[in-house]
Amino acid sequence: MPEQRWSPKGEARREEILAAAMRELAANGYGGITVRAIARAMGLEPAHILYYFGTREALLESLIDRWDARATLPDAGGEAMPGGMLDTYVAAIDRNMAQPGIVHLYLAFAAEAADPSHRSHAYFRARFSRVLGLLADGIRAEQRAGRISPDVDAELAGRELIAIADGMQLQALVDPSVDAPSAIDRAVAALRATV
Amino acid sequence: MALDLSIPGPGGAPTDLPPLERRVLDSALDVIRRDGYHAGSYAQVAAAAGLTPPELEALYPDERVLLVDAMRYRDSLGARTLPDAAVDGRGLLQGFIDIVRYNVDAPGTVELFTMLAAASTAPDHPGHDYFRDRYAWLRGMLVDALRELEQEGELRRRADPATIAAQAIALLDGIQVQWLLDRSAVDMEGLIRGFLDQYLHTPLSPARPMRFEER
Repeated sequence: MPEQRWSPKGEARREEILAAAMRELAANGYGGITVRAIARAMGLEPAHILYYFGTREALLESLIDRWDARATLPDAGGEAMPGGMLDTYVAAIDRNMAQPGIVHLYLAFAAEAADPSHRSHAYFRARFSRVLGLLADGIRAEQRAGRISPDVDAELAGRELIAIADGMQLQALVDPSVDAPSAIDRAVAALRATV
Repeated sequence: MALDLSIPGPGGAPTDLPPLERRVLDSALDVIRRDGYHAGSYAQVAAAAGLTPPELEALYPDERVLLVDAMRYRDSLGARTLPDAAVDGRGLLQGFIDIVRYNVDAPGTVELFTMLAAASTAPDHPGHDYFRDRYAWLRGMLVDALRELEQEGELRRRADPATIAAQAIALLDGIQVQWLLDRSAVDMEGLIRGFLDQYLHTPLSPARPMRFEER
């Protein structure tokens, strides 16, 4: 959907809808968040929701963006985590595990969007390259600081971290005895052990 | 076949199925390998198996169960059709690389597997238990292989086999999604081999060809 500016009131309305969608997700899972179900829960017409988001896919994209924004923005204090991007990423996975619904949404939605004809294909391509950019920058920053070996290929290592994080979350969602955050933490530690 | 080892697949995937079921699952794998799984594939599977859609529906009323069974069947075939390799730790890791390489030529199967694995994270999905068992089974195999290499002094760094095993499987699942989204950007085999090689004194070899068709 093209970028659109909303009035403060419209922005607030979108936020209410996204909050309702999150509740729907927590209660009924990824399959349960349909425009109709959210509308019913809010006592609205589905058309009202489509007015703000256009399509179900666009609404789901907004849900993921909203979740992302809260993970990567500096905390209220305005300070990014002292360890930088890699630590922020590990913390984000930790936070994800407390919300299996959003992880399920992200994994299932991304897998469906692998199909080039899927409406959110371009969205996920852009999202992966954005996250990869952040992680690769984080790795390069630590390389400059002497924390990670200059021999590490930052792009490749970033890609690996994302894949490990996604795959570990997949394993953890079907088997709660799997500790995804600590596996990502160790992957980051392995990078730092290269010096 | 050397790698026949104890790989019956999670939950003892049956390769000795009743003929009808076997024909249906063979057909499903063929359809998936060719085109992936989309709307209309169910009817294609029925046709390929020589059944009418209602006949297939009698056997598999829930399409998702058909897909989970197809993946389970593929696991057991995969274990049987790996190229000959010594049944040792290194041979097993090498087999893992061969499967990754095989997948590069079967994007339809990777697509279905990826979608199904993600969908199965919902507790009420019919594939939930299968994927849980499959991950435990895969992790177990890789952990055993890595422990063996560790005992032989083949592991390069102090590394925990359980962590490497879980990470390697995660890496493969995760990179498959990135690869499906942008195939030109990702060298799956090189990436997985590089990941394992960082822990080994002697690097793994490039993948050898394997054929699922021979069965």
